[in-house]
Amino acid sequence: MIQLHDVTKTYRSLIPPKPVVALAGMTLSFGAGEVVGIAGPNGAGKSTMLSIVLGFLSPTSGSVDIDGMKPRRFVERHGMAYVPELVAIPPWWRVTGALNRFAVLSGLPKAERAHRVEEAIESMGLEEHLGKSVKQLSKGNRQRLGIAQALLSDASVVIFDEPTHGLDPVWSDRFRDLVGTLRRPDRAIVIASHNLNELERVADRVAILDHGRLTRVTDLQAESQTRETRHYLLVLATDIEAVPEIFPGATRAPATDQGVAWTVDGELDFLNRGLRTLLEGGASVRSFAPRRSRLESEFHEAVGK
Amino acid sequence: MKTQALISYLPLLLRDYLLTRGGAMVVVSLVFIGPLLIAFSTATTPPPPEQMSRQAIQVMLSLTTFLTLIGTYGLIGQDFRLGYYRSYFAKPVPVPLYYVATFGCALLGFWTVQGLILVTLASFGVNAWDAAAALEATLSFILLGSMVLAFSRVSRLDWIFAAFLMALANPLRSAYPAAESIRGKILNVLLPPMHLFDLTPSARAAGETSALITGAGVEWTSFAWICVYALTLFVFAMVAVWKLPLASTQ
Repeated sequence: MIQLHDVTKTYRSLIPPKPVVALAGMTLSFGAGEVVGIAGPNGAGKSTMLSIVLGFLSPTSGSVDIDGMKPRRFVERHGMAYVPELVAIPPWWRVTGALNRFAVLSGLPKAERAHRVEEAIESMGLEEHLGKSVKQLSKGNRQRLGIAQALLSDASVVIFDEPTHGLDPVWSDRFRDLVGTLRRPDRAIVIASHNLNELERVADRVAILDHGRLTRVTDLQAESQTRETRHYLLVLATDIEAVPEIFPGATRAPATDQGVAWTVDGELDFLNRGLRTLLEGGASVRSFAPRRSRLESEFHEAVGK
Repeated sequence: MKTQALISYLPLLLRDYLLTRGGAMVVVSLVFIGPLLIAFSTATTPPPPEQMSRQAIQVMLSLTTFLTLIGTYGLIGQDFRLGYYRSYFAKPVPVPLYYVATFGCALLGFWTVQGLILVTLASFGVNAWDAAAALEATLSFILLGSMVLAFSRVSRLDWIFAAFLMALANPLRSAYPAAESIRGKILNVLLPPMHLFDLTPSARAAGETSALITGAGVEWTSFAWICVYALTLFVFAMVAVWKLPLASTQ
């Protein structure tokens, strides 16, 4: 559905004269029916990539194709559901007025508008804020309004840039459900986020960017088959020499307040057997918890941090 | 292309325009016509109605420049500077068409404010309606507004650049007459034709209110020159919003 082929974006300015490469030779595709996450540290090129997909920026070289059209042409014909990182809506607009305006701009037929606006208000819990102007809304409520305006249209491309930025934990959780309801076989959903847990919960694949380069694409669907293989942090009250024998591949982790720490990995059955052996041998286990998800591990490997 | 959607959006666009700029335009208008009304109502011998009308029309024409600058500054640039474009132009909206509509609303807003001034003047017994002056004010709005628009996508100082260019036009024309040098000819074409709005002293003495529509009829050459100049700048502004990247920050 969306294909980026060898896309490079270089920003040039007179001061300073040094060009900045925001994206370098990126080739990536987003298929219909898929939810793709975009992860990367600050300045990795995530927002630049989204701006190119939206047609807000043109690539310096390479090409972007959305259903056979250039991005801007696609947007002008079909529109996209887009939630920017910083939701900017004229501050004097009222919540209902803002949604009505976006419904009109989305090209919704008059008969449908009121119903769609009502649905968006309900799904984002904005009922109690209807009479408020945008400037009276808190950051989180403004973000919810930003998401609500994107939900109005029936777009086949949905783009979220840091969608849970400013949302409280309850609404961050609801966002996951929302993505579930937005899933459709003919719709591509792209989510750029710093929140790897969030991406892991909602995305099928996650593209990891670093310094403008696509460093890896993690297929979470395939990963879910082996999700039991995870890194765990085992903290013992005292140092036990047998740990590497019980958990082959275990490595020392920095000691914690609770005791001596080891990083172990393996499937749950294997880990349970190892823990039983340790406990039967008289060890005192202070804590045993997942250390990093596979996505987190891959992210850290990919960006070298 | 969702032209229909944009047409449906026009009333909302006009409402926003009047809410955000209408107040300032009305206040500036009152600053201009207030002293005139005070002078008329406090004069021991009120001037004849024709003279009051002529004076009011001249004040309204000189007000046009200020109303245009207030009514068009940042018309394009503000949406980009404040980031509103991200929500607007993810919708199926052709960007140049959106700003054609915005400029259309600005013109409607200008007419609305002019209409309010006419009603205010009429309530004080001054009839300032004059078709020739109204046309001249409209052309002046379109010309100067297009100049502001041409700068609007590239600078937040759009209105300053336009006002500067407008102020410079007549002195430069006088310094380099078109008939005397190639430089003068080039400047004559490039500079905004503000001189075409100037009434000659004899025309003013004869009671004319507009340099474009005189007692002898419409000055078609001047009319066409202003229209072509304004249209060129307007098209330039639209090409700029169409071709320049919408997002410009890193």
